[in-house]
Amino acid sequence: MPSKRSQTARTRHGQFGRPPTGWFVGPIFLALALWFGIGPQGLALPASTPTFVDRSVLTTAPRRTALSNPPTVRIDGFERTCMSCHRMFPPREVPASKLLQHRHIALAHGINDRCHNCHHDDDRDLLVLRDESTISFGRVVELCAQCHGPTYRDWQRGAHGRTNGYWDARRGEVRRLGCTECHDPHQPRVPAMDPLAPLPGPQALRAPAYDIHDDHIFITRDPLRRQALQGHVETIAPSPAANNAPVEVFEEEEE
Amino acid sequence: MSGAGGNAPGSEQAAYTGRLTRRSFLRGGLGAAGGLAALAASLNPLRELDTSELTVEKFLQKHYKEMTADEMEGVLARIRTEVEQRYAVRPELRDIKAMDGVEFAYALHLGRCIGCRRCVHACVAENNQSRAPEIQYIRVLEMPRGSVDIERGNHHYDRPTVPDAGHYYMPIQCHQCANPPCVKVCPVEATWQEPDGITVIDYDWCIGCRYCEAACPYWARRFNFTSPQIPNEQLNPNMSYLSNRPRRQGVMEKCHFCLHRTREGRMPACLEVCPVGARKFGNVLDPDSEVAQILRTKHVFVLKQDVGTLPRFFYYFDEDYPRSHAGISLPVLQPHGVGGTR
Amino acid sequence: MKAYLRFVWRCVRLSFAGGWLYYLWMSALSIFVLLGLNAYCKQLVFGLITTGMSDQVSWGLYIANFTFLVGMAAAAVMLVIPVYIYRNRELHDLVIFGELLAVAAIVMCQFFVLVDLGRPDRFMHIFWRFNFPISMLTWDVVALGGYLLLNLHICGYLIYCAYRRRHPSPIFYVPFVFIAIAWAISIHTVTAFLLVGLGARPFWNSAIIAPRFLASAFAAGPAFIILTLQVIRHMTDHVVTDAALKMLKNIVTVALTVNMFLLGCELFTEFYAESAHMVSTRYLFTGLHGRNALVPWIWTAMSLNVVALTILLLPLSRSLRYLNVACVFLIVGIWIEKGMGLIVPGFIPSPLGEIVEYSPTANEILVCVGIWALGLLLYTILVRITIPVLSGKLTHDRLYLPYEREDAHAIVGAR
Repeated sequence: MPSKRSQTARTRHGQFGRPPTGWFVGPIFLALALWFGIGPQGLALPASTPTFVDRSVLTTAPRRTALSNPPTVRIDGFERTCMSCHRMFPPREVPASKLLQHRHIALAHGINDRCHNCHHDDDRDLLVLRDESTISFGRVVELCAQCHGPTYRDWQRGAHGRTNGYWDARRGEVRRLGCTECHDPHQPRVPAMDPLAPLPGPQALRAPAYDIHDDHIFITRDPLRRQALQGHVETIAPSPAANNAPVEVFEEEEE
Repeated sequence: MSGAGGNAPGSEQAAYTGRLTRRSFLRGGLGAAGGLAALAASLNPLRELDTSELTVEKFLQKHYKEMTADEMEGVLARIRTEVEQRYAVRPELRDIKAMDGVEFAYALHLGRCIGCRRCVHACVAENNQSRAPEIQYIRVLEMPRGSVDIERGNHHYDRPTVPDAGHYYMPIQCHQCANPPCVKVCPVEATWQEPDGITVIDYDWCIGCRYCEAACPYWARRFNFTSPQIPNEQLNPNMSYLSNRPRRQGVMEKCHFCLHRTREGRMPACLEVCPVGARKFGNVLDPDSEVAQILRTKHVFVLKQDVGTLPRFFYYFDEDYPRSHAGISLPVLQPHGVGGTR
Repeated sequence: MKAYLRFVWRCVRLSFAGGWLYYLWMSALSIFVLLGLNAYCKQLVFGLITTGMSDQVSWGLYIANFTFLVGMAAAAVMLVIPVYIYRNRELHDLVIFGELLAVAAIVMCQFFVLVDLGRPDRFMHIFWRFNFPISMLTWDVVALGGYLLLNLHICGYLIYCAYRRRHPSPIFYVPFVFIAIAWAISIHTVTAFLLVGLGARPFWNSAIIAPRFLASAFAAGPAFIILTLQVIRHMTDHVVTDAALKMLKNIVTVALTVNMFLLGCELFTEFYAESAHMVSTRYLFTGLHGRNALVPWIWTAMSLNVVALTILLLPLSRSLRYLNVACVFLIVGIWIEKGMGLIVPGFIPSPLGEIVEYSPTANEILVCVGIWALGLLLYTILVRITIPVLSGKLTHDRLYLPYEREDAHAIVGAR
């Protein structure tokens, strides 16, 4: 009777070796089926709460409303023009810094330090050009063009300034904004703005909802992260420029 | 584990001849049943699969270029119904063709951009991108003065106010290149150049292989890694087939120059919202258009010119001195006569 | 036809017949396949956000494995060339295992591409609008599909002829074998050209990528075959001579030497000029701006390759044990090099200079493991069928499977 060992040795290089035992196969797969069926379902996917940007920020309206022609102001329920008051007293030649009225206007227009460089001495409803001819407020662009020649040429071409509406004049209005619809004539430098937040860090798909350092939760201005935090903290302090309004500055800031 | 444990060698011999015994039947049956059960159970997650994309109609839908007008109308009707069901908003969806004699170009004044990112979010609002995770077609880089090296740009600047003195800002979006590498590599022709220069994507044809995303030198293309989430009230109902209709999971998307607006003569959303007028758009074939004049007269450059993509997105700047020279007073020259030449 | 179906049925029965070790191996592989299938179902439901990929790194582990496996498939030609062109006797009976490996590897490649697609339900679009010859992906589809058909035909014909105890007529397989030699080189070249053709990615846009692909494939593929032939030698009675293994070892050594030389060329080109084009290489080898997730990987791969090459060049590799160690080292090293060391750094930094790192998620890894298990399962079954057929034990006029023998004894007596 050949020994068990030689039997197995004989069949080791044969077709099948020891008999197919395989009892473990069925139960293992059944256990796997149970795991798939009633084990942990779903996946831990990265946080992705809807983001929110205040739609009022995305206005396409010009940043400034140009004054009417002639400019009017509402006093005691009546629409008054400039001459309503200014015809009552003679004009005075004073530097802007020494004005007693209109003190809210801070003049920072390059080398211009006198109001009468642009405003007519006698008729406050008109503007004055360098050759002392007058123009109405509606043609203020020509006044700017006197000194800012290259910019004016660019503006005419469309390279400077803002164009809204249509690019195809046959189909709609090509609305070229005038100088004063972006620039304040007394402080022409365009003020700095509050930038809308970037996507939360690199790999936006996998950004954590918030940062925790030393038990403090740092709330960013990032709307996506702020939104995700609402389940985690009771109150969220709004960021200083929560409505993203343009912040007026008079100088370049050193950052 | 051995089924022959404890038996005499003779019966072991009999056992492995494979004769169908009750034992071997049970063993085999248990194995087979277990295997099939495990296979069926492994498909368990598919219970949550969104099968609305797996209809016969969508399977048979043709490529955009092969559809007749009637077939397109049928597809548009189907999409309108879907959008209405999903977002409770009745969309105005049409297929707008390119205008004749028009080739679009975009110019961006690098001296004017202040990096406020209004364009980024106006684009998101206009084009029905996913909000969670948020897809943004435009990426604004904060670049240090003195360098055009893109690698030194900061994508995630988060200052209280912009612009910052030592930096300038460069928004980058799809350049609608005239020699587009993304069109070259798409295996199914799901993306192509239209006659007016816009590179478009047929969202119902894309298979999501992301080869175009690898091929784009400007990182302009985005992929829907998951089902896009758009709040109902933020849906823009003014849609077209090739531009801003809501996309589905697993397809590519990118800036398309707001063709549902620009092919009707309007300005794209990013330009409309720009508060400083840094963006310029128009028909470059019209010599009197803003962009044509800019390309003729300004200092213009394109990004990565060496890659040979021939972009239609140009960056330009003026020759007069930029805003950042605050505090430097130039000498005031005395005019020859009073009153000047005007 | 009926005979063919009977042959197929007998093969199916044969796949389920084996010892406990065989059952253990196949069960383990099947479990991994099912785990991978389950993970892929989750990916179908939620989308590719279940992986670690992002808009910046839009190809990851799936394409990395695809690239490596195309190389493995191409390496079958390294067995064919010695036998059919140089008339090497030792390897003559072993060519079939290389071609079966090619079949299994190509099937794995197809699966890796399938799981990488965002819309697998639209895969038929590639047949309806085929951007051939402009898109390199279409070339890849043609090349891989054609190579699969070629190898299926060659292997199927030879095996079926052996089963029918017919002498295979050369006209039906020899021309195909020679076509397969050229085709094998081309499948890996086309896969390399997928990457090389992208001007947007200077890390890939280099002429050396295709030769490096081939060199590393011809090192890793035969190394894998060396290992599997030893398994076959232990588990079955198929004859595998030491001389055959030595021949394969020589092939691996030459290929690995060429691979390391080409690596040296690449490193010199990138690091000497220090232009901006090498920023991805710098990220890979030294890290960039403090981001250095891939640095340990690539240096491990380099070390493994160097150690493997050293072992192979020394007389040490005459011993099978050291040869096996070298093979394992170089397979792992080349896998890392082609995956982590080629695909992922091409995306870092992004074309706009953003550095976004990539690490695969658990779900992604499960899908990859599942597909590897499927490939090994397929290869095991193919080998399981081939060996009895080629050794003349399983033929159309011979009873082989135990139940067949038993019935014959019961009905017609001893044969």
